[in-house]
Amino acid sequence: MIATKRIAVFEDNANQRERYAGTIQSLGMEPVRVDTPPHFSEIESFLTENGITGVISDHRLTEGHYADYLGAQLLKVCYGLHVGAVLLTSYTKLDSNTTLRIHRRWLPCVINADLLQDPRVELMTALEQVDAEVRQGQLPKQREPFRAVMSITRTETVANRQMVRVLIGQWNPAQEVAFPLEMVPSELRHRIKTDELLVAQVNLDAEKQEDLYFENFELPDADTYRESQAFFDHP
Amino acid sequence: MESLRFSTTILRLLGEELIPSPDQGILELIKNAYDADAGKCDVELCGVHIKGGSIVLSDDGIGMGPDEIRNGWLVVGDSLKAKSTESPSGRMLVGSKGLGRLGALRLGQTAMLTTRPKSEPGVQYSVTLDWKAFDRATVVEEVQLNIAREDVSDTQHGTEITISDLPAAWKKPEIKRLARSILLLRDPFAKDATFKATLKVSEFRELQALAKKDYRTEGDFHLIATVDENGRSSAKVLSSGGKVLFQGDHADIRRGESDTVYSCPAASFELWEFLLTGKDRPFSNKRTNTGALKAWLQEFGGVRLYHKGVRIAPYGEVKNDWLDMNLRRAQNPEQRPSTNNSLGRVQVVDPKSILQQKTDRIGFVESEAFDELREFAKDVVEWMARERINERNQRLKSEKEKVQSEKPIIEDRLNRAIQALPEAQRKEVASAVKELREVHKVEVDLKDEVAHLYFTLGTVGTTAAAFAHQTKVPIRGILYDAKQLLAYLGDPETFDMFREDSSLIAERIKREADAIYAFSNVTLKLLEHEKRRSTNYSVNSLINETKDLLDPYFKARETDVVFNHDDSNPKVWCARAAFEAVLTNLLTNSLQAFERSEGSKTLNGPRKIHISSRTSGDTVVIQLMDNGPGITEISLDDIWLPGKTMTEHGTGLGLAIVRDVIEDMRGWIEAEGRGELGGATFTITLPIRR
Repeated sequence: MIATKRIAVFEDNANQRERYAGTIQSLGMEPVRVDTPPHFSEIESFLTENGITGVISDHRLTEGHYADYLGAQLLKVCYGLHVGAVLLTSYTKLDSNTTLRIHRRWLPCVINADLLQDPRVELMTALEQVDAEVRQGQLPKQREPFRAVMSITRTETVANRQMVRVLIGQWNPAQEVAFPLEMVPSELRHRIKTDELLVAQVNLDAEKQEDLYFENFELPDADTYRESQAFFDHP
Repeated sequence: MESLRFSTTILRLLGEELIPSPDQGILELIKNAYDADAGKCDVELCGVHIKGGSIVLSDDGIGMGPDEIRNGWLVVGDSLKAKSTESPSGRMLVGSKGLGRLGALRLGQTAMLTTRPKSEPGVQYSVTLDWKAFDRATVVEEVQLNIAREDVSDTQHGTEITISDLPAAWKKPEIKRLARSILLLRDPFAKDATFKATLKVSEFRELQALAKKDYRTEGDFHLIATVDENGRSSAKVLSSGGKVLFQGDHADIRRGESDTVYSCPAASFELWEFLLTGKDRPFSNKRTNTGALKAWLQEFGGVRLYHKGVRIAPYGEVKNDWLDMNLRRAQNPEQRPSTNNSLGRVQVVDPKSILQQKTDRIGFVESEAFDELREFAKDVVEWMARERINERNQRLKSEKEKVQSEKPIIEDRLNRAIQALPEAQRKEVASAVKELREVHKVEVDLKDEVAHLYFTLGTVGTTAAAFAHQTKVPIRGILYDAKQLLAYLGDPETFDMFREDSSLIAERIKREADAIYAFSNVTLKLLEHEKRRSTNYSVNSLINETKDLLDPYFKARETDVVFNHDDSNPKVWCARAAFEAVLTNLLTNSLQAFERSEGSKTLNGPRKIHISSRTSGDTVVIQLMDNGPGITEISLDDIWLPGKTMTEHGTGLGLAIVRDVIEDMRGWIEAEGRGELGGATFTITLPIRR
């Protein structure tokens, strides 16, 4: 049984807010419709003062001038406070490569709202999963980090954001994955060039590329470099 | 004393893996001839169409003595060249490591070197490498080689290499590829004749004949650019007649980063572009047969890279668009070169050998110097595109102005001519001219209408892209409710709970449907047919109507729009659709700019857009300002260019449409990155129609 009983709903569209609240209620939990969201710096006190034990949030909260932060930023704060949070949103590929990718490590569950089939069942499962991760530290297999070597295929600017495209041999050597350059520590950025190698912690058991997260970037040591170079030359 | 020995397997692997294709290996041998100060290098293919054929390379270089063979030619992975940077005659050496030579020599079962050193006229040395002997041996050192000396009557110095018993037949495409590689090894259009490599096959002769046609002088644009030792660049573009069309300095090319220099060796870049489509040829007046030109470009098109005088593959090969020209061309096809309609060369002398080739001789090692060299070439192409787009815009503008200024003069001349006619003819001609004017007016009106339709469609497109989310959200909501209802209906236990909420859910669905209706109405209203007819309109009414039309979007994005109007109610001559296109695009831009605010750092309080109108002499000045993040990531000159956008879902067409419409209305528009309210400000000036 999950501990999340009071679930806050962050959603800029009032109808949608009402809708999610209805579903939460039908699951036997207490919804808290967040009509006026707190400022970013006040999220922690808002959650504590309202006894919030779980969160469901849209990603694009700035739309409609609703909040001054994105859903992904909210979820990162929740993670730090051990509050299970689900991102329920309709996102584009660019979102998944940029604003979602940056915080993906701290987003225990991202549901594509366009693909929801049975809202009650899927939301319940999601709330249970995030609760297990953020409160009990049980990372599901597809979220476990592994050291991964990646080969940079190219860098490009998309919508004024510098992006890095890589191949991760241990995940899928044939599918490119993109992330913003700003995720790489500034002291390593000069090495971000086509055909260079990079090492990071990556959840290699993720099925879809949008679920991959990257953290703890580093440069490969000489042995890793040599072995991986040969691999990427002749996969 | 013991020593490390190498397995013959390693030798085989080195030969096979370092040179990925036969032509690459043969090019390495030709480079050796170049480094040996040869004036020519002939390559003959003997019976290669079947298995067991041979390749013979002969040059008139300085040849080698026994020490040079022993300590240079026979040493794998090193060469005498590695120890010096210039040949005896001062050529910059282009081969390296001796590994390329090994790969080439292993193309056959045996390789025989015959060489007559310049320093010993009448003497010839030879050595044969029998690879089967190496395959039989365990370590390389087991195979003994003998350098044979022989007196010969031929005093001509030079080197001949015969690679015999090729393991497989060479097919026609391979021979053609080799012919092309050899022809392009040195710039085929350069006047320099100090070194000539020839492949003695018909394919080579055909290509050579094609290269001699040299259509470069027929190019519509000739770009010449340089970057000096200090990393500073300059460029100019010449017309087909050699007239300087555009000239740019480092600040123009570097744009936005004019304080920084290119960290690459000094280089030059030339590009010849041909306008093949028959449209938009402002400077061209002569034309070769387009089919012949296309065939020529098919062989020689693309931008090749020459380092120390020899070509570095794969830059400029088919499918190697290393300057992203084809990608960028999609934005403005008529103003940018592609690899199909241009050819060019980047030449780098690089005396300090800053650029290093990869071991397999395919391309340079990706280093900062190489990245910067590529950046220089890309920036120059970008600069040329900007200049051409500006030139085109200026030209269209001045053509419009010229027509406007000439029109009354011509009309006056026509009227005087009519007046001068005898009365009977005068009436007849006047009547015919009147009819002609009426027909012409109908024709112009129809064209205007079509133009306005395109502007409107463009505006509908930009609006739809910008507000797709607004329509998607309610649809998604209705779908969610439908799925929820279906789940309830299938579960008797929760059905009662659903029954209580049913009216609530129905109300919600109605609200969402109303929102979708309002948004779809905007598109339909923009497309109303009668709005494309030009007449006199009150500026204030037009602004109010457009503001009301877009009201659902302002509400959805919590934006307060205030309009301060001029009391004199100024009027302008335009089509409503055109004016709407201007305001809709500018207002959409503001709403999108608000959405760019991520986190708290760029939020400037409640969202505001202020519109004002005021008369100033014979003009009305309309100003739109917002309190969004402003125009910060793009130069104010570039915002008008089609395809330039700061937003993720932007088309980059909005402001291009705005500027074109305003100019059609004989007005002008100016932009300010950060105006009075903190965000972007646009000021439109239009002539008042009295």
